[in-house]
Amino acid sequence: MTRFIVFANRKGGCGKTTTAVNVAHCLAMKKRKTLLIDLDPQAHSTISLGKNTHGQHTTSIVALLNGKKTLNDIIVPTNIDGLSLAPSSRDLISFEIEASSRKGSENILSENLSGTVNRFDFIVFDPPPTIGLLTVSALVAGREVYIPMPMHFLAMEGLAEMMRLIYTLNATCNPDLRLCGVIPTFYNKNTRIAKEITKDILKNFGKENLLPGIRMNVSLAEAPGHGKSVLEYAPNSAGAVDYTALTDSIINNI
Amino acid sequence: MDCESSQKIIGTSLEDLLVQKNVKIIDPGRYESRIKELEQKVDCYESRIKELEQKNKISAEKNKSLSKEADGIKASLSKLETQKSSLFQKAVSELKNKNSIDAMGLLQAVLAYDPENIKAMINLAVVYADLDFDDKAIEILNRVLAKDPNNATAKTNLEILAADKDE
Ligand SMILES: Nc1ncnc2c1ncn2[C@@H]1O[C@H](COP(=O)(O)OP(=O)(O)OP(=O)(O)O)[C@@H](O)[C@H]1O
Ligand SMILES: [Mg+2]
Repeated sequence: MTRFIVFANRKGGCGKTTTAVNVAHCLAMKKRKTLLIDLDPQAHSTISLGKNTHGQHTTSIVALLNGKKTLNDIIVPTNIDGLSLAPSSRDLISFEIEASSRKGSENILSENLSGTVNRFDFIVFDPPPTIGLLTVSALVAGREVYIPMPMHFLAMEGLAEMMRLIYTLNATCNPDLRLCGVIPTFYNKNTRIAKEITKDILKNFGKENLLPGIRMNVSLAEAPGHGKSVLEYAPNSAGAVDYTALTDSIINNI
Repeated sequence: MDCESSQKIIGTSLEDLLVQKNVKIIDPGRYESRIKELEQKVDCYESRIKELEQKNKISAEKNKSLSKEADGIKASLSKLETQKSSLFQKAVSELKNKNSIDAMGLLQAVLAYDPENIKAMINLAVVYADLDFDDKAIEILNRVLAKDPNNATAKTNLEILAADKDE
């Protein structure tokens, strides 16, 4: 059965895209057919996988959301075996603005995913850092939410907010959605604040919901500039090691 | 330094933030203790079930030996029944052969088993009369009539005995 996973956090720059891209690559390396859906108008996942976004809007996720194309039409292969991409483009912004006022827009994505997705083991969503239509669409289509977050107070505040959103969606349109784990990013386990926040997460969500952390690692920041995942760019880096371990625990987290 | 080691760096805990946002997370620890609690209950029920099964086994055995006993009693009862009826048959045949003394013994034996046996009583009255114990015969026939006031045989025999006395 296809697993639908969302790396979400309304906090910007917390490592959603880095996590989505590298986990997607690790999944593919572990022989799981994977589709990464870039739902961020910034198109950082698309760029990180070496895809040019200029002049491509007819084949971006926008075309699917506008009902002009099917999922099959917009999916592109990547240079990673087993990993496909539903690319984003800038005009997602106008889609979000336009569609937000229309009732039921949050279901469009989920409705358009049926059918084709069966050939994937994993669908990974990379939403933008705002709780708008695009993030909600991902959460309506998804089942498992993973929250990447740096061990900072404001990030923890964002985590609490995400929990509220998940519960609201549970009660309204997606009863299957659940928090499957918090991923500490930019992680330095030796700082006192990291220790305290870790403890708080364990206390409130239980140990099964605290996933292996991703250390601060410069290769992770460099890789997107080369259009590569960290596993292609620096396969021996701490970043590659950490994302491999994280992916294992996501695969086993059912 | 003292202050730093005793105070938390994050001023507000995740728990407080969740409460502020009205998000109720079920404490995973509470689940565990509830599961333990339930497991203990299950253990308790299991041992109770074992106990009851043991008891059941014991009463089944008891039941078995009781029903064996009951079978034995039934068997001896039916044996008595056949003995009784065969005694009565013998008594009747002795009567027919005019062997009153033997018939009397047999009928008395029948009545020892079955004091309410009216037929045996009437026949015993006949034997008594034959042996000239008229008073005893009358007494028995009156006992029959006390039990069964409309018994015609008893009435006729009494009348005959009364007529004999008058003579
Ligand atoms: N563990 C890490 N170590 C070093 N740099 C990192 C790490 N994780 C992410 N980065 C860098 O931090 C920046 C923000 O990360 P990323 O784009 O993944 O966050 P995001 O949550 O997707 O941001 P946005 O909210 O804008 O979508 C990027 O430049 C990324 O390369
Ligand atoms: Mg991003």
